Amino acid sequence: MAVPLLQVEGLELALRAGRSWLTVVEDVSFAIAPGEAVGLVGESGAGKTLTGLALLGLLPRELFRAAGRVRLEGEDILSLPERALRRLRGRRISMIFQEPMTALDPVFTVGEQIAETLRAHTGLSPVAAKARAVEALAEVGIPLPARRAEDYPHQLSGGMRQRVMIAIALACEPRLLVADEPTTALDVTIQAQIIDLLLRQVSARGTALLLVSHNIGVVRECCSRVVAMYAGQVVEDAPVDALLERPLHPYASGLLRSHPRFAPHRARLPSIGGRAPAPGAMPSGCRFAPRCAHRTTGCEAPQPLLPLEGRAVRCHRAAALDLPGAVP
Amino acid sequence: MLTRRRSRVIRHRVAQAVPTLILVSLVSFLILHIGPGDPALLLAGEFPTEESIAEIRQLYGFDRPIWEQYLSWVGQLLRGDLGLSLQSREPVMDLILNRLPNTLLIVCYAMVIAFVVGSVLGIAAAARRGSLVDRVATGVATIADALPYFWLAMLMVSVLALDWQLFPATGAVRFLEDPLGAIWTATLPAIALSISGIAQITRQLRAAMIEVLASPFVRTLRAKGLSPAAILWRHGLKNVGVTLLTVVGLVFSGKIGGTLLTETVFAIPGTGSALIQAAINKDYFVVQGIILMLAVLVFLVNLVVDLLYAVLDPRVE
Amino acid sequence: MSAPLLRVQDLRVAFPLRDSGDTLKAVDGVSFDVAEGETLGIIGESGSGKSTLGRAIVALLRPDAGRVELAGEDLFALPAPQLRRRRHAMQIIFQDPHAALNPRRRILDSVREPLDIAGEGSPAERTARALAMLARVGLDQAQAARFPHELSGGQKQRVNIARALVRRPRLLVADEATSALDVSIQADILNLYLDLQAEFGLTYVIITHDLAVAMHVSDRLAVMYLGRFVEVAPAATLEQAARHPYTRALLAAEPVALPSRLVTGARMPLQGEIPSPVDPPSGCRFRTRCPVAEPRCAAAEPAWRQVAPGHRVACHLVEGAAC
Ligand SMILES: Nc1ncnc2c1ncn2[C@@H]1O[C@H](COP(=O)(O)OP(=O)(O)OP(=O)(O)O)[C@@H](O)[C@H]1O
Ligand SMILES: Nc1ncnc2c1ncn2[C@@H]1O[C@H](COP(=O)(O)OP(=O)(O)O)[C@@H](O)[C@H]1O
Ligand code: SF4
Ligand code: SF4
Ligand SMILES: [Mg+2]
Ligand SMILES: [Mg+2]
Repeated sequence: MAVPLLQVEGLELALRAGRSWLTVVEDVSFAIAPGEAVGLVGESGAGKTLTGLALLGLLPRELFRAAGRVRLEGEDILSLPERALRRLRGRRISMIFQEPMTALDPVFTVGEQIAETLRAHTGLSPVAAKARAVEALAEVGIPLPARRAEDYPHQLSGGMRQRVMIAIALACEPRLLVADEPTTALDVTIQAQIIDLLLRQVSARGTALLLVSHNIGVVRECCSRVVAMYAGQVVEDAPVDALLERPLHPYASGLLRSHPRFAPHRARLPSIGGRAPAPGAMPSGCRFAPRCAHRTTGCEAPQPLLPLEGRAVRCHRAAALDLPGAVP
Repeated sequence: MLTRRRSRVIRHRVAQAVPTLILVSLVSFLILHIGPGDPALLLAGEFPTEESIAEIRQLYGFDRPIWEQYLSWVGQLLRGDLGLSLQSREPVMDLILNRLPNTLLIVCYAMVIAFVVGSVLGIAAAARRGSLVDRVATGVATIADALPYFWLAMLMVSVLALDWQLFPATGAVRFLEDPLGAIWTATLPAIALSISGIAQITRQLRAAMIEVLASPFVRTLRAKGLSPAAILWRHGLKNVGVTLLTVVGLVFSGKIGGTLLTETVFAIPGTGSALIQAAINKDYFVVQGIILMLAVLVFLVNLVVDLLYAVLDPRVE
Repeated sequence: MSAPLLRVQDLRVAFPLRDSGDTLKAVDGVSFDVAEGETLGIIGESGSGKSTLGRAIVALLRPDAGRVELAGEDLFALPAPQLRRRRHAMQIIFQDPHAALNPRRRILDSVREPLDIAGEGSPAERTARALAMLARVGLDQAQAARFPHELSGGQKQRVNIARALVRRPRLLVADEATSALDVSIQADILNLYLDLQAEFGLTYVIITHDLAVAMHVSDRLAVMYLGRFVEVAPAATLEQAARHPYTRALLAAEPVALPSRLVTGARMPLQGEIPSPVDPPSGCRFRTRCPVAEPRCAAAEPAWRQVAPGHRVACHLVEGAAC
């Protein structure tokens, strides 16, 4: 692999719980090459959003403690002072969020909110920034951009707002875009439009993409590689097609197989059963063990993330198991 | 700035104001008529005679139906005629116009103090929650609320004016004749008048700003690389604008009533002290005129607040 | 076929708009039948009127026109007290599993409440029935004693199902009831639906914008657009032989979780967004976004055509027997 743009190594995030710390993300490692699109999947509470926020240094330091390394073009983000992080956010690394309804400031026009990003990072004059904001709205496919620039967020539909979020995030041509469930709140038809737009925009700019989603279909369309998280850890890191054909980790397999598409019409779905453990109540060994159908001796030991067949997997039985994937 | 929808909202608000104005005039009118006893008897002075009562009844038209009296009173009102003071035989309108500048000066002055101090304290407290600033601001707000007003005013007069001689203790200087002197003289009463407003604005603004800073869009702003200062002063301030407006409107209305006490304590010849004097002297037309004037002032403040809502909040329906 | 359990005829619901005096036609002429024990899926974009339709079916909302018949009885022709007595027969569960439960009541009390209101049986019997239903959806006695905030989203949705079923309804409407859940939890809930249907002979109307969910659980599917149905067909038919351009666009828009070698063709996303139901397009309502629209689509509303048994389509381009 080429020199990575982003390298995450042993990222650990702990949340302040009174006097002690509660580890919510542990031993998360993955890398993203320049221009590469990587998906981050897992069930809710797995730590996807927190990982994304940590990449921008957005977790408040009084609430969260971060350990490990997050290197963007060699620079360690976790040790950067707030002032340096501010110069980085929005310019070299951007983020868009799931809730298009609440992610924009309700009392500023969308044009102002795009121009503001430009002004924070470039020397553009207010007039030039405004003109550029209108162009940016046109680029994300908003009709009548000059008029729409004067609109407030509540005057736009959810899909339109997510387009505005994309325009804001890409305004300064960042090297990496973290998109946290950018289409989850949208209808399939609008989701398809937004995915289309997102892909065209990042490939036109050579921007790398970390796409957080619980929809593996969306990840398959956008990404070449996927990182699956379970209970705060990465459990498998693989090319998307390889994971879909033959997942190596039992959780990844379970996730794929519980999709309604893979069961016969109106037949019971092979669900994983049970629930992910809560932070603070993690099993000492493999975190998936309480729900795993392939548990044997050796599973009581903590599982490291190990390379296997050009992937990384956190299961000592991975090589021996032949697990079903998303192939009917 | 003003879209068609917003101008429609504004027209609507102004139209809604008409019934309120009519109500205000009715209440002021009825002050004299609903009260116990015969108004003519009230007006006839200490030693009424049958003839003088009849004369008064005739003079003021008390023998006519009440709605007719009201209409003719409103007619006079529209011509700027509030009647004559029973005490000084001076037109009530002149009396009010003479004293109003003193009242307006301390009210506006107190508003400026309450607004500036309250906003700074409230925003600083919200920006650094749990910090020393926050504890001081919350403490100030709590104490300011608990202080007996009269005691505070007396304390200020005795320490700042009499002991240290920083400010004149009482009285007023006409603003148009000596603006600086007038402001100087009004400082003590304005501070006294502003205290509860400071508490109110600090508390409300702190709560509103904390809520705004916790909203999801703040995360977007941080992800864009904005500084905490830009988030607080640009986005935070504009978002709490509506709350600020509401509380300023409330405080302003409260202050207009508060002048009664302040002007009396500081012996300021304003409308508030005049109202109290007139009430003691049973000078009914002055009481009626001043109450009407104060009500109209409160009403105007609220109308301006309502209109500003439509300008400040793009979501206003 | 025997008489349907649910029969909806030309149902219309409009909401007056306060500003302009216009009305928003959320449901604008919908007719369908659902047989006893059958599952009808309703799919469509948000704003197409699915939830409004769902609420009208269970008489939570009075339609402006049309009929809703449950077991041959016109619900809106019934006097209020009698309608109240029919309510237990038709239940609805909503998307937000949190909102539907009283945060200050224990789970058991929430589930028992419908029985308490109806005054069925002794208090001890009611508790026993509520506990049995909770056990049936997979919650034990300890969980029954908890408060809603102590349960996960999936568990709360189970509570909502238990509460809806405790008085043994005949019809259950689920409005996006699994949309807020993770795939693995969703799978558990869908399994529960199927088990409960077999056990209690329930009739379902499943409202969702998730095509895969709708295809999996439904016997028949109805596609809704801007207040109207545009296509109704058995689930398998719809998956393989959808005829309406909107249905096809919906199917094509769904991102498939299959390895690339099994994914055929590039996706053509549907352009534009759903128009406002205040002022829907003339003729065919889909014409502003339809990739194959013709001049006649603006002029006239397409009539319903039967293209195969049980497969109805409303599109000018589709040939078939009028119905
Ligand atoms: N009480 C109401 N007053 C006014 N309009 C309403 C009301 N309820 C629903 N609507 C409108 O009716 C239309 C259909 O609403 P409905 O919620 O039934 O659609 P839906 O397809 O279920 O959407 P979603 O998937 O977003 O829930 C929408 O345009 C909605 O805004
Ligand atoms: N601000 C917070 N305070 C307390 N717990 C949090 C906070 N943010 C996240 N968590 C917890 O951290 C874990 C991971 O959360 P998150 O990153 O949001 O997961 P995902 O994005 O996969 O849904 C969860 O258990 C969640 O409850
Ligand atoms: S380590 Fe054991 S329990 Fe964990 S996933 Fe592998 S087989 Fe299952
Ligand atoms: S009737 Fe015309 S516009 Fe409507 S779906 Fe058919 S072809 Fe498209
Ligand atoms: Mg998340
Ligand atoms: Mg809905």
